[in-house]
Amino acid sequence: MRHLLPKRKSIGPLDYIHQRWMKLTLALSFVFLYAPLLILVIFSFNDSRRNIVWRGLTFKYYEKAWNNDGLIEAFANSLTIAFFSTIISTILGAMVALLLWRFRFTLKGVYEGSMTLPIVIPEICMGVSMMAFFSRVGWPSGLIWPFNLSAITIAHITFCFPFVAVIIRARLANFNLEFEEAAKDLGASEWQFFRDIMIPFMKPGLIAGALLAFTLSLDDFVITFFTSGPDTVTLPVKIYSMVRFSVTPEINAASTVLIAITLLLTTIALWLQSRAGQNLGH
Amino acid sequence: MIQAKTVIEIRNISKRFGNVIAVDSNSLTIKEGEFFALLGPSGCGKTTLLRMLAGLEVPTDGKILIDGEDMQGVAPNHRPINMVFQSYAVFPHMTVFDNVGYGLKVTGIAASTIREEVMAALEQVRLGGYQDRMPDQLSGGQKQRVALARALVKKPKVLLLDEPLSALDAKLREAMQLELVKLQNTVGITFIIVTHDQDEALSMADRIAVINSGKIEQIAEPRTIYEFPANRFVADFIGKMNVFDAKVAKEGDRLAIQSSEIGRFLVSDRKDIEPNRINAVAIRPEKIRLTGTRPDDSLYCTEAKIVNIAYHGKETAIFVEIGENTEISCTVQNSSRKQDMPKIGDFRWLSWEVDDMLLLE
Repeated sequence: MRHLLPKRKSIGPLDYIHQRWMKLTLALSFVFLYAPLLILVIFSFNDSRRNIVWRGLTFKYYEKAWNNDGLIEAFANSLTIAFFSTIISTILGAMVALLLWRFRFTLKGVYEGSMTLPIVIPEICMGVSMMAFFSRVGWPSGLIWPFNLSAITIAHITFCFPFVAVIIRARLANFNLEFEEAAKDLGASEWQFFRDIMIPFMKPGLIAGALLAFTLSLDDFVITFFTSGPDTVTLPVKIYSMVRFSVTPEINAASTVLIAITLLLTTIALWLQSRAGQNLGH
Repeated sequence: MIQAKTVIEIRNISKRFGNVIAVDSNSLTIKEGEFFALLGPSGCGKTTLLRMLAGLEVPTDGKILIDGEDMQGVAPNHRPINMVFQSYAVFPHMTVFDNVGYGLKVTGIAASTIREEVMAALEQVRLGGYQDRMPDQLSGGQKQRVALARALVKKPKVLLLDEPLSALDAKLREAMQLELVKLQNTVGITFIIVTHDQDEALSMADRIAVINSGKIEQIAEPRTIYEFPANRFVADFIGKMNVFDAKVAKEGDRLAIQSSEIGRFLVSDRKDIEPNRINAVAIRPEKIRLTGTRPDDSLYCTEAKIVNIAYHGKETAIFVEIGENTEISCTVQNSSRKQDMPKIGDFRWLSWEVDDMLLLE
């Protein structure tokens, strides 16, 4: 008996006409990702003290959150920490990326691997180690604002800068070494080349890295929880402590604001990166 | 002819990368206003030689003098030389104007002067009106013009071009060849071009250095390189060549050539030849004639069987066999539509001027 090929091709799982599967996958992923978030956002407008039944639209919980001094203070702390840790981790991350791109040294592979450690290590371990570290070195507490935030800021730099380094390193991989030779051939000194060619080339990576660092810092709970004291509460930590009493729409409102900021910054980062990608189109 | 001034002098220059000798003790002088080509197969060291001139590589040994000045320890940004890179290296985040003006800006020239010079340079490479474009809005050929303008605006003593035409398509390449020569005539700057394309070198350069595995094999004008190659490598690398093993001996005022492949015949004596060092003779395909009747006795002549034909439009390559297994390629110009076209298996008389033969070491 000879095996005959079927007259019609059977439809495989990755066939382009598989619209139904494609739609199902789309729907499932959206439900998983966004259903909880959507409920959070919707119930932030719920006119009910208890967050279970929908009783009509209101903005009063946004107002309430705005007038909650503890919440606003926590938000101000979060922004301050995010601001400083972003600046420092962007500079440090860029330097690491340049180091890895430009130089060869012994155990470079080990160094490169160790840079990604904070990305893969469980956050809880980072948090505990940070707490142990700061108490071991006797880091001063009870300083005036904003110096009381220094421990959290340092902890945030620790887990932010490797992300920045990874992003900028990826960008540098596309750098044409002839740009450097051309700049020098045209009379540029090392520093002029660095300022005029290298930094503009890294710019999309710098911005994307900075925005990512900012959102990571703003959203972080676990590591912050272990390094914050009673007078250094950040927004995520504050929300957590509020939830322990009761889940009110006020918390939903505060969370929604946090989501909005994160979303906005991420969108800008992605947009900048894609625009830079177009500019590079060789 | 006025004796032109030497602008570049290279003395016994070498470059080693670890155990690899990229450039092996070469000397070379290039005159002011010359269009000079470094020609060789890929990996022969021609680009390394060019990069040493630009200061992008440091020679292991030897000296480079530009305008009589020793270039040892002089950084690329302080050399009176500019380069057009193979990838053009047009800065992607700058407009055409900023790209071309960059070399002037970094040396602290006034903005108004920069504007004037950049516009003039863009006009020179026929890119007038493109100053506000970004590089990603330009074609490959236009990017190359930007790279050219960017180098020329610095008014260098020497312009280096690293495989400038290799990324362009055939039609554009031919147009660009003519344009580069014209441009060089207008600006009067010495051009040194690196290429692996012999057509490019032959058609553009005033003189060519043929390089093979780090060594310069011959430096001469294009016609000399083609008609009188110095050795077997040059003969083989430039154009097509039929090479036959042979022995040469003096016979009165002539040279007797004995080849197992094409037999025995006499050629005129040549001063520059030592008969006992010659081990091959060669003839170019286009110097061979195929005729139906036997030509006169002054020519080398033999009967040949046609074994293969490749039609190229303007010419036809015909492969013939003589004796046992000796294949010879000939090129016939298709100068008339009525031309007799032999078929595979036909016999023809094969002939050439004996003095068109090359004697190779």
